[in-house]
Amino acid sequence: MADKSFDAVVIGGGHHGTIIAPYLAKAGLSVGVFERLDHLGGGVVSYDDTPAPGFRSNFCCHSTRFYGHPSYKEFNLYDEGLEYVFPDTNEGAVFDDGSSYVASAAFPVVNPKTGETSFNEENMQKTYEQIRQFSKPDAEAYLDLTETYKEKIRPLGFKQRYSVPPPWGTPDPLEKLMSDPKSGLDPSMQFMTCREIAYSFFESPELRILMLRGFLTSCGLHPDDVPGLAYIIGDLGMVLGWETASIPKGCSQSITDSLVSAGKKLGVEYFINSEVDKVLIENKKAKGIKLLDGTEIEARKMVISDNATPQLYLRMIGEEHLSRKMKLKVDSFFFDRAQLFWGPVAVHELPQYTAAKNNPAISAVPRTYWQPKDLAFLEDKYIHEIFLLGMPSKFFCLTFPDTIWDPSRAPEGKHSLMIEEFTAPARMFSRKEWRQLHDEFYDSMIDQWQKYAPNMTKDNFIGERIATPVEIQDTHLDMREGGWSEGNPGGSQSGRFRGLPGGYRTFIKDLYMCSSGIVGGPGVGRGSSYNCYQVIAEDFGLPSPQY
Amino acid sequence: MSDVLILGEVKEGSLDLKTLELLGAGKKLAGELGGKFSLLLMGDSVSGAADEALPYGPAKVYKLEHALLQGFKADLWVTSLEQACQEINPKILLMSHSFIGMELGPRLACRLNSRLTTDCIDLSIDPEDGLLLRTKPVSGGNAISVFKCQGEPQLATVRGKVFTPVETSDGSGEIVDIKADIDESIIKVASLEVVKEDIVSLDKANVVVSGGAGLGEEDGFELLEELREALSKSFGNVMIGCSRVAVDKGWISSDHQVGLTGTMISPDIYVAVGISGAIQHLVGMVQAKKIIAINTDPGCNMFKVADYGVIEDYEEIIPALIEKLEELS
Amino acid sequence: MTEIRIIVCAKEIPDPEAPLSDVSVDAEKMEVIVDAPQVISPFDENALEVAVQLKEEVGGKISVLSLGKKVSDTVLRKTLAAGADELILLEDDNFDKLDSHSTAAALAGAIQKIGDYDLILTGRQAGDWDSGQVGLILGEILELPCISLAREITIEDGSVVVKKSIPIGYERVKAKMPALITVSNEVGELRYISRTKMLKMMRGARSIPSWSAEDLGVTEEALQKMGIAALSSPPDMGRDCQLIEGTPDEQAEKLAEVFKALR
Ligand SMILES: Cc1cc2nc3c(=O)[nH]c(=O)nc-3n(C[C@H](O)[C@H](O)[C@H](O)COP(=O)(O)OP(=O)(O)OC[C@H]3O[C@@H](n4cnc5c(N)ncnc54)[C@H](O)[C@@H]3O)c2cc1C
Ligand SMILES: Cc1cc2nc3c(=O)[nH]c(=O)nc-3n(C[C@H](O)[C@H](O)[C@H](O)COP(=O)(O)OP(=O)(O)OC[C@H]3O[C@@H](n4cnc5c(N)ncnc54)[C@H](O)[C@@H]3O)c2cc1C
Repeated sequence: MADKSFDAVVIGGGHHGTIIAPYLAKAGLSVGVFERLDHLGGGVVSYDDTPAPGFRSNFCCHSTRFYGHPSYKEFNLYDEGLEYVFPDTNEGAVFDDGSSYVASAAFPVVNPKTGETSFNEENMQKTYEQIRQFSKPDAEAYLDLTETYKEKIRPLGFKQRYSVPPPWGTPDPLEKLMSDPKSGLDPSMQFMTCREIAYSFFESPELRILMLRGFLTSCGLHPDDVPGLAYIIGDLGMVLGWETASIPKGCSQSITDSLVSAGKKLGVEYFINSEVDKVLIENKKAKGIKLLDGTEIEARKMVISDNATPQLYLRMIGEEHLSRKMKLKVDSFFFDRAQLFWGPVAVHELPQYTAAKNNPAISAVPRTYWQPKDLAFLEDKYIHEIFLLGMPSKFFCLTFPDTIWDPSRAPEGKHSLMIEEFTAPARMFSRKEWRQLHDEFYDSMIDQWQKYAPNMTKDNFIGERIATPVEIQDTHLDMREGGWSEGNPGGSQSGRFRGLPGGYRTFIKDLYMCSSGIVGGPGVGRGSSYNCYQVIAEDFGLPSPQY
Repeated sequence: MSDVLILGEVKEGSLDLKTLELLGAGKKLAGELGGKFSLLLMGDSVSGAADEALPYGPAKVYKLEHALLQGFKADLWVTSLEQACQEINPKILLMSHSFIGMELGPRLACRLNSRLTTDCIDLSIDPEDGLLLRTKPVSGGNAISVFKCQGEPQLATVRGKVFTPVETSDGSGEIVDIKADIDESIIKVASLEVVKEDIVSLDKANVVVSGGAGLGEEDGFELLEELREALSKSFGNVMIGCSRVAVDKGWISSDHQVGLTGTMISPDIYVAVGISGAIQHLVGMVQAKKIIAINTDPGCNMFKVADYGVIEDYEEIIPALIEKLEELS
Repeated sequence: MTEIRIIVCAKEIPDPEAPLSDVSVDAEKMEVIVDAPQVISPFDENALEVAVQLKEEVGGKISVLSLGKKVSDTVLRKTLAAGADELILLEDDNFDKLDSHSTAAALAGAIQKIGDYDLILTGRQAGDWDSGQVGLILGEILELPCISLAREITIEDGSVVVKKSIPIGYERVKAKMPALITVSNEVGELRYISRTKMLKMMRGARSIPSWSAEDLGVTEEALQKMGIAALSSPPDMGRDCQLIEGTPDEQAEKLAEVFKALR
């Protein structure tokens, strides 16, 4: 006898669990969401008094564009409290020779409420001038790429992200572009490495550095990894700052809170502190779930998992149900990319970059890298040192001074910045070594930051909450090895290829997968849960989403 | 010849509680062997303790007295014990996993060319070959291993508080004097001084308030001290404990350490503040009747063994708790 | 003061702080499986730390011995970066799962091969089997003065003076060198080794000698296994944890009630 019963049971109230739940409820199903931790949101959570009393900061995801997700309109998330601010500048970098780069969005948001954008010639010119400092041909290339983006790629973006990939053999919208000579994309690019991509688009070391470091940030990929088409576009877009940066008021938690608020209104029931252990399977059909404490929950129609492939297949379904081929496929899901030193630091004053003398805009850029102009190091040594020692000798550090645009996150007059630098998978170091690495990272970061912004001395810091991969892994079962991706994102795991055969539909009937471990990929606001709902809607004859 | 020999320990002239536990274990093993158990007492003067031991039913109480055995000088003790074993020729020798047993056990094992298992939590006899089955937690407590080794005597040191102390019965045993052939020339390690420190006896506490790395700084223990005082108004013996990281950081002395290499305790209430619950710590406190955990990480291990959990920064909750306790008392 | 020669025995083990979820027991193969990186057993790191401190004070040479079926020199190279002068791996298929006596015997073989030494330092116990025997047995085999549970070590012309922990405080003891000492964590954690130092050490072309049982002159018969008759998971220690929720003030109030009820 089941202890509870729902039409749809969602395993995990993480990001995609909180997205799909209101869609199912809106279609008239009774929905129960079962979350292991004591709070909802998974990778989309924020904490008060972090990293110091009076501050509020994110623990996992930070940089988001959720206003672009269809659920934003579908559930009126603006009215549910999700409000974004849109800075004019976007991506920036300070180099160790005093030069710097600031991208301004060519497609800024003109209506904050709807997220409506419009092309902005002036911003494009600004970015052009910035790139011109380094190389005129690269600046010209920027103009060409922006044109292609505007005409060919951008119109596909939404469709590409929020639609179920067509069967193999039928090109998806991006793949179609490869046969269009005017798109600037050709088929060989699918198989190029990050380094090859960086070299094939730009000639200046600055832009190549930005591209390579950007591949890490946007997809966790190393220079010799193959990103695949979607990530190439993603990285170009980030580096060239096409789309506007966006900052949710009250931190990323506002995304989760607004989704959950919408869900509750539609009758979704959320259960926290409820770790799921098994999917109950009868005759190859999902019938419900079993919690760790033994409670059984009946799923009258379907079970949907917001988990990574290994946990779903090896633990919840169980190896005994897997064919050898399936088992090997699961085994080939690796977790050794996208691990970070990551978290907020609280400061008395914002960094005052020496580079601002010649380029004042650099003082307020939502995503600011400070990094040496050492392409050879980034290509050849950076990752090697990280895997050997836990951190590189030269940092390519990304910082997010969000309190400039959302002062509610800090006590008056104070600021906080999110920090991102890459590190190795959790398994590579012992617990004690991670504690030591954390301390050395923090000290080194301050030492190195000062070279770019002399006021970033130790006494400018009020507090820090920089997490290492072991902390992420311990709290997030599906982020194995403590990276932000549920399985490596590149190559065979990017775009339409991500996940196991069957995609959103698993080989168990009525068991679906909606997490970032499937097509859609890691990051907030990606399409996996939305597309998963579309598949379910088709299977059960439910209404399609309105947007 | 004695089947099971217990090395007893004498504290202030009397048998130590651990010795009674060992006698309990010895009696059980002797029963399984169909044999007898005896007790060996060493020191400069152990007659009182020997008399005290007879009612517990050992077949013999071996009394090894020597002026040089005053205080614990390992070199002299291990030689005396070696000689005693040769004379008594026991099948099994049990020692407590105390400071004395931890030092004597390995050295004696080497001299007698036998094999020792330390820190045992269960013992029994393999009926097939009469060898001692020695159950011991390994990997800090993450696994339990049963060892079986050759050699005589069969040697084990035994963890405190796992065997029930033996009860008195009609003791008909006898006291046997044995001699040790030792002199000062055996001493390789000279004692310069013994320094008594202000040591907490955590095992005597009713309530232990323990702090770990999560306190963040030494001052955290001041807050715990205030909590200790507040609790003292309602509970008998309230003491401060800690995890090893707190010791390693130099915030507090090691006599406060709870765990595998600290003190193993089973108080009525154990309050773990900013302690993650590493296995080596857990094994030292998991027997507490009630466990209360205060930790900012909902996923931490301590919550898994706790009866009550508070997910909160200790600096927020403890001052408030002290206030509320004052109101209640 | 004359320089001293120190030998530190350091064992490679899986991270003893690995969370419970990373540890499992294969009862059939009688193995504890720990899904965690290898480290130097923590008390052996403490032993290395005092060795380095002593070397800094009076000068000398530190050799590190590490014994196992296969020892990872990447893990152990850290000892060189921390200040050891020499690392010798004692590797042999027959060194798998040795009992404490056999381990000590093999180490004694290596130490006799080195020949010249003043102090032998080991950790008080290894973080995997928690036996706490090898150091003291080694001292017995080599017929050295043995001192256990050291929390402070100093050298005074030809002798070593040690503060050792005892239940009521500490005892200051003195022994002529050579001597064997087992070290406890009170001596302090192994110093942190900066990345630049580690990098140099990892890249260093230095060859690390590896000695087999034969090199040490120990026969196969002298090497006995631990004698595991059974291996199992520990009993479940879990309890039903009642979470106390609310604002800190409310939590404090509820917690005070819990204390009151337990009075
Ligand atoms: C450190 C870090 C930084 C990041 N930064 C960014 C960023 O800046 N921008 C961005 O876009 N993305 C970022 N991400 C990625 C983003 O957070 C994830 O891609 C996103 O949260 C994935 O959503 P998901 O639903 O697949 O997984 P999750 O959000 O992790 O949801 C999975 C949920 O399932 C729960 N669960 C797991 N096991 C069980 C079980 N057995 N029973 C019940 N529940 C279970 C989990 O607790 C969790 O709530 C970051 C991630 C991390 C870790
Ligand atoms: C052979 C061996 C023997 C050992 N013997 C012992 C022993 O006898 N005793 C022992 O304790 N350890 C022992 N250890 C060490 C043990 O493995 C752990 O390293 C140690 O117990 C961890 O201590 P901790 O919980 O204080 O630190 P951590 O594991 O670092 O935990 C700190 C905790 O504090 C929490 N926290 C952080 N900030 C706050 C806040 N503001 N408020 C509340 N909570 C907060 C964190 O969430 C975390 O859970 C031994 C290890 C080995 C290898």
